[in-house]
Amino acid sequence: MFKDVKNKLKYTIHYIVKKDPKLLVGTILVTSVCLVAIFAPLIAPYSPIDQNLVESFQSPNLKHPLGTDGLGRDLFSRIVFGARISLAVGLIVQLFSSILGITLGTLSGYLGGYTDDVIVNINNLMLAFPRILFAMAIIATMGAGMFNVFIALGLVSWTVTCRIARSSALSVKEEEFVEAAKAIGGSHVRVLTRHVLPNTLGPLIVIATLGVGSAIIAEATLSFLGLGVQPPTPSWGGMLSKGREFIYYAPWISTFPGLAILMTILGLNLLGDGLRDILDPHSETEHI
Amino acid sequence: MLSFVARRVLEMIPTVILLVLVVFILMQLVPGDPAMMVGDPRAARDPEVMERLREHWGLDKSLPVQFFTFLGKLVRGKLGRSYAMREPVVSIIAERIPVTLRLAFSAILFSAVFGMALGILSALNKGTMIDLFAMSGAVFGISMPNFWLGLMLIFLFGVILGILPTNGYGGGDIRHLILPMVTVGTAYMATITRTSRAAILDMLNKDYVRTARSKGLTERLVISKHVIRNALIPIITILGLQFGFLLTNTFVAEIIFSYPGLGSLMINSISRRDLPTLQGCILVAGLTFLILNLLIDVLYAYLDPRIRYD
Repeated sequence: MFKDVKNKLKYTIHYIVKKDPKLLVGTILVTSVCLVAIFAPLIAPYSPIDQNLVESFQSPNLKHPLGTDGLGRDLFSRIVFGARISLAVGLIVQLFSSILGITLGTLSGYLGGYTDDVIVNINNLMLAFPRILFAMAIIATMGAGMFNVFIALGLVSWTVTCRIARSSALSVKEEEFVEAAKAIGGSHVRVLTRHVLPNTLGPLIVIATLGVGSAIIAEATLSFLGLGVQPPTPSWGGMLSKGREFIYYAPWISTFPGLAILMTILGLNLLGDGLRDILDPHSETEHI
Repeated sequence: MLSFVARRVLEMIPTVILLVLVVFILMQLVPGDPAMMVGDPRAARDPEVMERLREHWGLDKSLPVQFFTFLGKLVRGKLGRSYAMREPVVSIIAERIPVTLRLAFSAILFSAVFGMALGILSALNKGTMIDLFAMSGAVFGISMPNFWLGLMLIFLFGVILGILPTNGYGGGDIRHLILPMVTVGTAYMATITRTSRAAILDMLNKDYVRTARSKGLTERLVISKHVIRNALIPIITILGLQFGFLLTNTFVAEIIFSYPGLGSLMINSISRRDLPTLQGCILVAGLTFLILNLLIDVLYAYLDPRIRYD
């Protein structure tokens, strides 16, 4: 089964290069954001946190290509370091919610019965409310901060993954190769990890890609509202929220962090859309 | 139809009870002594005063008692008094709801009209520059954080051009509605554009469309009667699925444009630690969302009779 995935991956790379501009642009954008995040200390010319009040509110110039904020911090450096926060939030939240969603969804579809009923009902109830509202309520009680953002977003983001993992598990469960694996004495765990999961990977990868994007937007929204990552940590949403106060005479403070978010999310969306065309042609994951 | 609506309303009840329970539990998890927040900081040093405060707000009872007191009050439409404004939460919220609903509904209208128009246009001109332009625009619209869009609109229309007000409700003046509406509606519009394009392309391949054409109907009639009418169902599904987004975006836009709606009330009450108001806001927002979903389901059943008998 893994060989199958590997072939698909090879085909994917071929496809990216040759055929699909969406995938190509998406891959370039996402890769560059990742590289910026990894090499942030090498790229950023200044410290993202140290204040320099003498140079506050400078519009973009040679010394500070994107200008400075109200505390004289170089915006370019802050945006570069902000990529780390955004990607960390996106990846950790998505990892957490994928593990939660895949485990619950696969179990629910594979085992059926009472387990299935309970999980499906919880899932439906969670889907019935706006995610961010839920996250806001959780953060309002636990307090703001990066760690609490991970928890709140992770707890509210697993529902779609769970639904897809469940429906894939349901459809794979009846296949002959699963029966065969059971017949030769494969344990539940082995059947699940070697036979059921690899066959549900396609749609799950698509969902995870799009999920990273929506987690990043959610974090930015929470930080914009003052409920997320707290200053002086450079988070794009937090920078926008500060920039809002100075929109009338220092518009660059809110322009550039927003562009950074836009580029990242655009990249992830294009990548997700492109991957969907390849890995999930029947489009189970459409519109989510 | 009536029995369908009745059934959907009954199905909502467990969800509503769960909502109330979750809100109650969340409020219990808030760290700190609520009595401290109510009182004057100087009073906090006087245990007797604090005791009286606890008694007055019912904080000395056990949790289950507090929950049922809470539930009982809710049923009678009481949400308690705001710590910060010393007014009944119900009347504060009742003042705010029309503001939020007006913004949300105008954003829905804006995005549905323009989104469907763009979607239909690009589906009927598939593969042309119009299509490419509309679809690229839609991807941008979906990827753009709406609070950033709001700030940029303020900068463009308020600061550079100076033609639109960027702050406050303006007593319901329509000009104050335009920028928030666009801010809330853009991402929604982009989703609708994409969905309606896909739905219409899907319908164009259907047998009954070919039949309609071959029996000599004008293209105009085929598109309007057979294609668009049927494409409405997936479009409305997406409208419904994305309500959560819309509500969140409305809340954020209220903050950006200092709109006195439910969203800004909720965010402010988080920072003021005004628990009764926060609790009321979450309950009302959740309830609004459930009711909007109900309306979508009813609309859905109206458009597709098969659903009513499911």
